[in-house]
Amino acid sequence: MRRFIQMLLLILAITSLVFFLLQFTGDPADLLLPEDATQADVDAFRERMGLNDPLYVQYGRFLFNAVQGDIGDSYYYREPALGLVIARLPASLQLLAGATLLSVLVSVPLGVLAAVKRGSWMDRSILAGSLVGISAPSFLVAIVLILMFSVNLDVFPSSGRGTLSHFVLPSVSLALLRVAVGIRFVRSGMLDVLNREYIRTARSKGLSERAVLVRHALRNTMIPFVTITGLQMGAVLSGAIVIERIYAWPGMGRLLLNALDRLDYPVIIAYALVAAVIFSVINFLVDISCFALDPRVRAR
Amino acid sequence: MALTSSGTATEPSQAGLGQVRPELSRRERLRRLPVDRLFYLAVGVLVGLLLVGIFAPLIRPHDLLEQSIRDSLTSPVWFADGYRGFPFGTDQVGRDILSNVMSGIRVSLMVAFFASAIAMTIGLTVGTIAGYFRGWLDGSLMRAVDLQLALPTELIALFVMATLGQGLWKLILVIGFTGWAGYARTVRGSILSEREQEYIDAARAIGMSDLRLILRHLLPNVLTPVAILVAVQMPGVIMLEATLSFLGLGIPVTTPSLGLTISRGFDVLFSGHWWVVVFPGLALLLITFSINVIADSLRDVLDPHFRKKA
Repeated sequence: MRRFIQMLLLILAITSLVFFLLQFTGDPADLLLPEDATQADVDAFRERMGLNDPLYVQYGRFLFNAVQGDIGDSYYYREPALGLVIARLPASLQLLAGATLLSVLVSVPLGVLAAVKRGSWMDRSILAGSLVGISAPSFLVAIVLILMFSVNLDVFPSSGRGTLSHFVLPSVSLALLRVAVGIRFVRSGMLDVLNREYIRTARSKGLSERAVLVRHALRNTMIPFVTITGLQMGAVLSGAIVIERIYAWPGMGRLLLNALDRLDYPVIIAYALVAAVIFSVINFLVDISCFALDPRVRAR
Repeated sequence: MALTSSGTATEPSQAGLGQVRPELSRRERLRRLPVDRLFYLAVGVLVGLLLVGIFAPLIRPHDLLEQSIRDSLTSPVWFADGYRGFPFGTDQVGRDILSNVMSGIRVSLMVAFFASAIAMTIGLTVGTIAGYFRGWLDGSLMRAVDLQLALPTELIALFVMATLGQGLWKLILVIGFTGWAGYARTVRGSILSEREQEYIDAARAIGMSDLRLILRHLLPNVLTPVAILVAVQMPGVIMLEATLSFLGLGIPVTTPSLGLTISRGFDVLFSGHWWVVVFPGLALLLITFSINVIADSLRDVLDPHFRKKA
């Protein structure tokens, strides 16, 4: 229950922050109405959109409608803003899931390998690679991948969504930073665990090295890893914004950037709301999986 | 990284290379590891980049806003159609890439320095107050830290920049004001453990004021973890600046940054003009990579907790 209230507060904080921030931007009437609009047109537009009311009235109305799932119509598309964002949610979630899956599948084995072979050339090259990885912003990775695989080799398309091959470059670009962070996290976690007494016990009672690593060391490393992976998904979702622009991926991030250009308030707020809900759901799932993975948490 | 390798000699299974080598002195081991060489290399590169950044207005060959359509999209100098005046080539309106890269390095380092300084100052203040005075103040400040950490920094910075409009100092302030929470938490932790020490009681007993106690005795203990945190977080600051500028939400067009130049290069990427993207991209990577190498080594050498682990 306490968790749930925290969740609601986080959602309220993000959407309210965005709502008040938007007051600093220009007047949507200037942007949306044609050049030759008369003052009467502007006034009528402002009246219709409720932009003439005092700020607290607008905020109150916003909250009142928002809890009923109504953020208002997009100024540009003239459709419910929340619907527009939700329609693009699957594309973004696909990217989020692909990148997260990829980063887990690559970083766990490489991190374990580096830890087990500590000090070897393999460890050093994995570490060096991950150090390059954490230094590269994902928009740069995306551009370099396009340069290599779309412009020069022409093996993957550089934009759009549809086939699996459209999915490769965006998800790899988004995943690379997480892979690099994950490798370092798994490696240091494994090194930490491998020095513990219970690992020595497991070895001395004659368990195979594989069993020691997988059942005893890896499992204990996984609990913080799951937490960190989950918490970083918020960052992945924000990171997806720039990736969606570069690859013309029809997700909610691209919608947001267009809405920001057009000062399409309802869409911007709808994005903030959906993003906040996703963060909260992820946090909740992280808690649950820690509960499932860790008997010590369950006992509490 | 593994600057301080190998714990006990009785565990050959995880010592890797250690088992074939004779036991070396600590200094000897430090000297032999390639990581260490990488560290000095990174320091050298960073100093070089700093010098380029500081003196960019004096040493760049061309004026930044100088355009000449005649020279647009000139190849780098080593190509047949390259021209000596533009070593790294030009962009679509004939601006010199080398000059843009130099100024971009200056902007990136400026943002990194000032934004980190702001975040660190706020974090130091909040963390010290919370850790030293405890009580309800501590409780509410830490609640604020939790909220700040729960908000996705990149998204908040993007929203704020998009609504307030571009600007170098705006960007510095926004990144500074969204990045303080990690510092506050670290500082509070160090202060909390330190203030239980006996010498603090002794200092208080002889009538030392709170402020003097904090400045003279508590803060020096905090400097090492804070220094590490600055180095660890700085690449993220630089990457955030570059990403926002790439999206056109960060640095205005009048002060070319690396992100902005890269975004201009992206527009001509498909016609094969790779140099507009690649040179600023390499510069960006060089900055973040060298700081990351330094941060890693600092952590290994300075952080006793990490030293024990590795």
